[in-house]
Amino acid sequence: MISLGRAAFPGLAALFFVWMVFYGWTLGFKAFTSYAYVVASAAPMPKVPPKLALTDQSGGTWSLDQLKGQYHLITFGYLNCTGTCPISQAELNQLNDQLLLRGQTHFNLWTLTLDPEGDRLELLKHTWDFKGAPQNWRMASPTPMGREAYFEILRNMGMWVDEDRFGNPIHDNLSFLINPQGLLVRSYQGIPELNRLLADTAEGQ
Amino acid sequence: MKKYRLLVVLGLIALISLPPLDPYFDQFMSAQLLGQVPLLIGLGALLSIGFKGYKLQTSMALAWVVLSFGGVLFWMVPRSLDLAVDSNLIDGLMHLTLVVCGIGLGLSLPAIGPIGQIAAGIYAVAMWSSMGLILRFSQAQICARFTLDQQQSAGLAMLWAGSGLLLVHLLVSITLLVRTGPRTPAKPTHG
Repeated sequence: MISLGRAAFPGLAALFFVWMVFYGWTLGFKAFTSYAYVVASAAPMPKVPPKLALTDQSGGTWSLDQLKGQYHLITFGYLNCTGTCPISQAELNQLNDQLLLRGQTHFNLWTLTLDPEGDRLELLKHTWDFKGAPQNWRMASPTPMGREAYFEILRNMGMWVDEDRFGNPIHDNLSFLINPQGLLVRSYQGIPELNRLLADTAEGQ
Repeated sequence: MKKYRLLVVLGLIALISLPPLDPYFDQFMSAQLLGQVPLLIGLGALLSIGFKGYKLQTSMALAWVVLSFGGVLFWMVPRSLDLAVDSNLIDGLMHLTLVVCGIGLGLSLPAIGPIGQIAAGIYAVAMWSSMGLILRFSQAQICARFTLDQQQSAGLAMLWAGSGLLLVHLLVSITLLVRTGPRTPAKPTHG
């Protein structure tokens, strides 16, 4: 029995070592993907949004941590995106129509650009006008700062974002809900469906 | 291993790990998973011939099998793969680990006997195929550095390669079992 134990010891020790490495690397088997790692590393919700100064398409200035009094759905994208942004923005368009049809005017929708250098305010305004200039939907850009600093703020929120080898932003498809108390209370993969959004906001009321 | 053979293997490792081939491998998920990774492990296994005089005990060989599989599996974690594509340093670390894992497998597999080899083969085919299944059928992007299209094509290619590996594994297993032959029962001893 003792010799069997001795024979098995190196294999078991190796297995334990591999297990420990994987446990640590994936934050307790929770974060196998880059997206999940950023989410798992970020502070849990509800939490105060980061201080992020924004300028909207009409030149209005805002700060993400000062959005209070109403619900705000924060989405991300950029105008030249060939990935998921066009689909997300179309879904957001549809969500906005459904909200307005139901008379839910206390929702504010935001699209924050991930390419502040490329998506200048006049381009955002042009796109916003093209969408019919919806009053409850703002397209905003962060107050000029380095792209890496901006991305770091978003990563701390729980969103994976980086640049590809051509310098284009690559990102996951999360959207975030800020409640009337100004707290980040939920994140969604993509744009939430109307019923889900209404249920989530009813819970908080 | 003769010196010139060693140089050829080392040269091939350098060729696969350095530009202009490496950026190509990093650009396409299929090329990375079906080309670069197996090639580096295979070349590592070839390098292990150079350690001919180094015999591993079965218990240590088992540990090396576990560590080598663990090392390969580590680089199959999507986050690790993303980091390797993102950073040259981590990419280099990945190449080094895979070659070392290849050496580890080359040294340890012959020392664990046919049943151990068959078990290791079953594990490798299962690991490979399940990863192929996940990549092929996941509707969400798993690796941030590769597109969904690339991911699904890589998954499909891995499933085909997995089927081929399974066939090879069956043939090798049957050969190993036939060669080993049935065990002769021990004769009872009296008095």
